Amino acid sequence: MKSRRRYHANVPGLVFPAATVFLGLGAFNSQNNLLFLFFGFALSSMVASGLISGTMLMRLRIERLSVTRARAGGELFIRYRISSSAKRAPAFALHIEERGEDGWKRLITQPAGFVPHVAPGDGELVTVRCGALARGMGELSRIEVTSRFPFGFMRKSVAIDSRSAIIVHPEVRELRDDALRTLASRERGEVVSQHERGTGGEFFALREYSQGDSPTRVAWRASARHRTLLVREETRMGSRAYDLVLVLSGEPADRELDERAISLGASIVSKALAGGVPISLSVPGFGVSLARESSRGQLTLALDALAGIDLEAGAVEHRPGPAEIDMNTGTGTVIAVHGSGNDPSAAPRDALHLVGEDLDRLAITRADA
Amino acid sequence: MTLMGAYIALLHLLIGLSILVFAAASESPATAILSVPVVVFAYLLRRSNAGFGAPQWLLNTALVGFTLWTLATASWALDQTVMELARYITFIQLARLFEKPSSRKWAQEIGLSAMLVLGAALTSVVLSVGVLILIYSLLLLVTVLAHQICAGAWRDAARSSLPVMVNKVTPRLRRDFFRVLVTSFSIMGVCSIAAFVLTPRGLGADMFFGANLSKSVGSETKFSDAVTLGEEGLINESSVPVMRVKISEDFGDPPYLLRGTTLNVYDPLTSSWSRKMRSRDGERSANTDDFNDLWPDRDEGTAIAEIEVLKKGAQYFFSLSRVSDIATPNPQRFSLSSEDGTIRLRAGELDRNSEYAILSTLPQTALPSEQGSIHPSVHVPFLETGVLRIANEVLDTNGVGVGENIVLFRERAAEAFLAYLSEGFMYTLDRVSPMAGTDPLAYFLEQSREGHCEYFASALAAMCQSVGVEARMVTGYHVSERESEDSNVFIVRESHAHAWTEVKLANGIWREYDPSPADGVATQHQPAKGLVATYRRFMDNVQIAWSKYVVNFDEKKQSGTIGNSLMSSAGGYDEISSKINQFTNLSRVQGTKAVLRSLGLGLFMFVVTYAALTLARMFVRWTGRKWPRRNAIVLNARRTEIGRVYGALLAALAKAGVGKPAWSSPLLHAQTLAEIDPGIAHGTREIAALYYQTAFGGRDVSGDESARAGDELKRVRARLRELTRERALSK
Repeated sequence: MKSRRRYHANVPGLVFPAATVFLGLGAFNSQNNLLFLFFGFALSSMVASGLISGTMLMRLRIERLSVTRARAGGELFIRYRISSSAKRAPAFALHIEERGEDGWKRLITQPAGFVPHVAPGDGELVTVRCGALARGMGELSRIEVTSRFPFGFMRKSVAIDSRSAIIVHPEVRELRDDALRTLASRERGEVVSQHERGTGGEFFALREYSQGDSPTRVAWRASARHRTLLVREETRMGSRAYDLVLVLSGEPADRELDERAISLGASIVSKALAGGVPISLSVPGFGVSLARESSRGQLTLALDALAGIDLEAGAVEHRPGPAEIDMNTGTGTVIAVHGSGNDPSAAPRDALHLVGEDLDRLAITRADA
Repeated sequence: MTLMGAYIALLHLLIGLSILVFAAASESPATAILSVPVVVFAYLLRRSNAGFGAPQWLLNTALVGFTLWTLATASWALDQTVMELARYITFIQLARLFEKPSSRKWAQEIGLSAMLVLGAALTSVVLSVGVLILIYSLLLLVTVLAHQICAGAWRDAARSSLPVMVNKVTPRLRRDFFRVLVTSFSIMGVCSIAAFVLTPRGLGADMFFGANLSKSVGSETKFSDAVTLGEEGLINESSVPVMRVKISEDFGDPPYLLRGTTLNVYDPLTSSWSRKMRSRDGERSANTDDFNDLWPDRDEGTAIAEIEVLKKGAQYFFSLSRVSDIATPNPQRFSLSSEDGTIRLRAGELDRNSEYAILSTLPQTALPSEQGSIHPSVHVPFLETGVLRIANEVLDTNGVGVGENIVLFRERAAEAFLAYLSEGFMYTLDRVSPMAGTDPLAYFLEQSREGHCEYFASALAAMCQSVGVEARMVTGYHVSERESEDSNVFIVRESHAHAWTEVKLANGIWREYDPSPADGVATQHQPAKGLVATYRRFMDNVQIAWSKYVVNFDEKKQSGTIGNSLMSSAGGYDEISSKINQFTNLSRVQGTKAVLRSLGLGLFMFVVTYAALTLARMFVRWTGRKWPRRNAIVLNARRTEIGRVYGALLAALAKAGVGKPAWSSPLLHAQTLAEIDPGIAHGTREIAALYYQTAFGGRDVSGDESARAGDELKRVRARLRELTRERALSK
C-alpha cells in the first residue's frame, strides 16, 4: 500500500507563530528575562510539535477490513484496523477519513472515525458508522489518517491507497402482508388460497405458542377456550411464483421516478422471498436478469443487482419487447413496475402493471404500524 | 476515571492556577479569594452535569457590563493597563466555565489562561511567581496534550451524533501519555534554556516603547532614599537578599554600615528629610579591565568592599566610608559628590549595575582643634520646636558648652545626644502616627520615645543641627549577616535597610553615629539558627541563583556562559545586531511615532492590495454573468454558484421545517414538497436537477440557467416565508 505524508496548515498553526513573533518583539523591547523564557518556550513548543507528530505517524499502518452493505436511508459500517510498528512512540488522537475519487460521496456520508490512542507495537480496531445516502455502487480508494497531536499547530496526514467496494441497496419498504396476495388476485378476480402454510393472511390452522412467535399472532379467543396460548397460522400467498420486470426509462428527467420503481421492485422481492415465494428479476436495458429462486441468497443477488443499475449512464442494451422477455409463466405472476408512466407494451399483456408511486399505497405506513 | 473526566479536572485546575499566578504576581489576594471558589464550584457543577450551560443571555449581559467597566477604569489609569486586562481575562474565563461546553471554548480557555500567566510574568519577577509559572507550564503541557485527545473525541461524537466516548484511562494509555509528556517537556526544556541563553541581550531595547512602563514587581530593590516621618505601618521586613558584600579585613569587625545617600535638610511641614548640597557633583566613569585583581598596590589605611548586586534599581553605589576609587566590570557613568562622598548612578544605567568595588579610606580618629562659634550657614529649622529645648537641656545636663575648641564641642554634643537617645528609648518597627499638627520628631522625643532607625537618626541629626552642629542623616544598609561562618562575605537583605547619622566634627571630617539601640537592631537583624538557618541559606542560594541567572541575566553573563568567540562567530551575528541597532535608533532618534508610522504604512499597503484584489475578483465574476462563458475560471465560478444556490435552497427549506433528510434524494424530496406547496416543489426540483447535472453530470451551466436558478430560489424563499407566517397565525 502506497502512503503519502502531508502537512496542512490550520488557524492555530498560523496564529501561534505570529504570537511568538510578537512575544519575541516584546521581550527584546522590554529586555524582561521572563519574557525571553516565554519566547524560548513558545519556539521550543513548535520544535517539539514537529518532532513528536512526525515520529508518531511514521510507523502507522491502516487497513480497511470490511465494508457492510447498507440500504439507502440506512447505515453503513466500515471497519478499520490501525496499528503501529513503532517500538517506543505511541500515537494519539488519530482521525480516520476517506479521501480519493469522489464517486462514493453521493452514496454515503463521509466516514469519520477517531482513535484516541494506539500503543507502540499494538493495534486498534475501529468501526465507523456512516449514513447511506443513495442507492448505487462505488469504491473507496484512499484512507487518510490525520492528527493534530501534540499541540494542534499543524495537521499532519498519512494517506494510504486501499480499494474497497461500496454497495448501497435501494430503499426497501415493508409491504403490507396482503399486498402481494391482493396484487396476484386482483386482475383475475379470484382469490387464490393455497392450502399451504405461509404468510398469505388467510387462516390456515392453530398451533401452540412457541418461543419467538409474534404476540400479534396469538388467537386470544381460542386460547381462552383451550386455556393455553395458541397462535394463528396463515396460508401461503396467492401465487406460487413471481416474475418481476422493472421498466426504467433511463432518462435524466425520469431519474426520480426510476428510483421509486427500483425501490418498489426491491420491496416486492423482499416481501416475496420473506414468504418463501420464488421470484425472478429482470431489468431490460440495464443488464439485470436473475432466474426464479426462493433461496436466501436470491435477495442479496437481487438487491446487489438493483444497486448496480446506473441510471446516469442510461440504458445500455436494446430494450426487448414483451415477446422477448423470457418468463417462466406457468403459475407465476408477472409484475411490471414502471418508472415513468405505465407502458403496457413493455411487459406481457397479462402482467400486472405498477408504477413507482404505488410503493406508498402498498407499503406499511406509520398508521398501519 | 474516564478520559473526559480527567481532562475536565485538568482544565479547571489550569484555570485556577493561572488566576492564582496572576494574583501572586500582582500581590492582590482578593482576586484569588474571589475567583478560586468560583472555579471549584464550576468544576463540581460540570462533574455532576457534563452538558450544563447557564443561559447565554445572562452571561453575555455580564460580559458586556464588565467590558464597559474595564474600558472606563483602564482609560483613567493607563499604567495599570496590564492589571485591568488581566482582570478582564479572569472574568471572561470564569464566565466561560458556565457556558455550554465545546472543544473550541475549551481551547480558548487554555489560551486565555496562558495570556494571564504572561501578564503575571510582565508584572512580577519574584522567585515565588517564577516557581508558580514553572508549575503552570507543566500543567499547561499536560492539559494541551489531553485536549488534543478529548477534543478529537468530542468532534467525532458531534459528527456521528453519538455520545462522547468515555474511554477509561487504562494503565497503557497512562504510560504512553506520560512518555510523550516527558519527551515533550525534555525537548521544550532544553530548547527553552538554549533559546534563553543564546538570545542576544541589549539589542532592540525600547525600540517600540520607552522606559515608561512600570517596572515588574520584585525586579527592583525597595530601598528608598526618601525619609518621611509620621507614616503609619511597618517598615520593610522582607528577607529577600539585595546584595552580597565581600569586605576586606581592614574594616574591622561587623556590623558595618553601607552608605547610600545622605539627607541633610528637614522640612517640618512634611516631616521629611531631603538632600541639598552646596556644590555640584562631579561626573565620572569607570570600567576596570581586570576586575579580579583590584588595587594590588593599595595604600595602608584603605579597605576594599566588593559588592554584587542581586536586585537592581538602587540609584547608588553603596560604600563603607570615604571613597578613594571605584571599579566596575562594565562601563558605568556616575556622579561622585565631593561634599558627602555619595556615588549616584546616572539614570538609564541602573539595569547595568550588577557588581562593583569600592576602595575606601578608613575613618580618621584624630581630630584637629578649631576655634570659633557656631557656623552661620548651618540650617537651623528647629528653633520653634521642642527639639531645640531638649537639645539644650541635654547639653546643660552634661555640661557641654562652646569652649575654645569647637571641634571638641561638636564631638561632646554628639556624644551627649547619643547617650540621651540610648536611655529610655525603645526600638520598634511599628510606625505610629502622632496627632494632627504635631511634629513627629518632637512627638518621638517628648512623648512616645519609641520608633525605628529613621526616628533615632533623625533625632540625633536634628538635635545636632538645632545647636549649630552640622549633621546629616545617612540611609543605607546595616551589614552583619555572614554568608557562612568565618566568611567575609555578607548577605544584605531588604530588611537590613538602616538609617544613622553623620556629624561634622571638623573640616572634611565626618564621624558616624548610630543612635538606634544596638540590641533592638541586633534583634531585627539577628540571623536565624538551626534548621531555620539551613532553610534560609538554601532559599538564599535559590533566590540568588534566580536573580543572577534569570532575572538579571545580561550580556556579561551571557558572554561568560557561551563565550564571546562563539557569539561573534555565529554567522551574521554582527550584521544582524547592527541592523537591529539601526532600527532601535530610529525609534530613539525620531521617536516611537516614526516606527509606528512605518508599520502603519505597511499595514495600509497590505489592506489596499487585498481590497483591490477582492474588487477585481468581484468584477470578473460579475462580468462573467453577462458575457458568454469563455474560460474555465468563469465556468468554475458558475458551477460553484449553482452549488451555492442549491446550498441556500436547502438552508431555507430546513429553516422552514421542511428540510431534505440525508437519506432522501432531492427529486424525491421535491415530490413530497408538492403536498405542501406546488410552487416550492417546482422550484426545488428545478434547482436540484440543475445542481446534479453540474455536480455529477459534468454539464456546464449557461448564464441564463444560472440566473433562472437564482430567480427560483427567490420565489421559493418568498413562498416559504408566507407559509411560515400562515402557520404562525393559525397557531
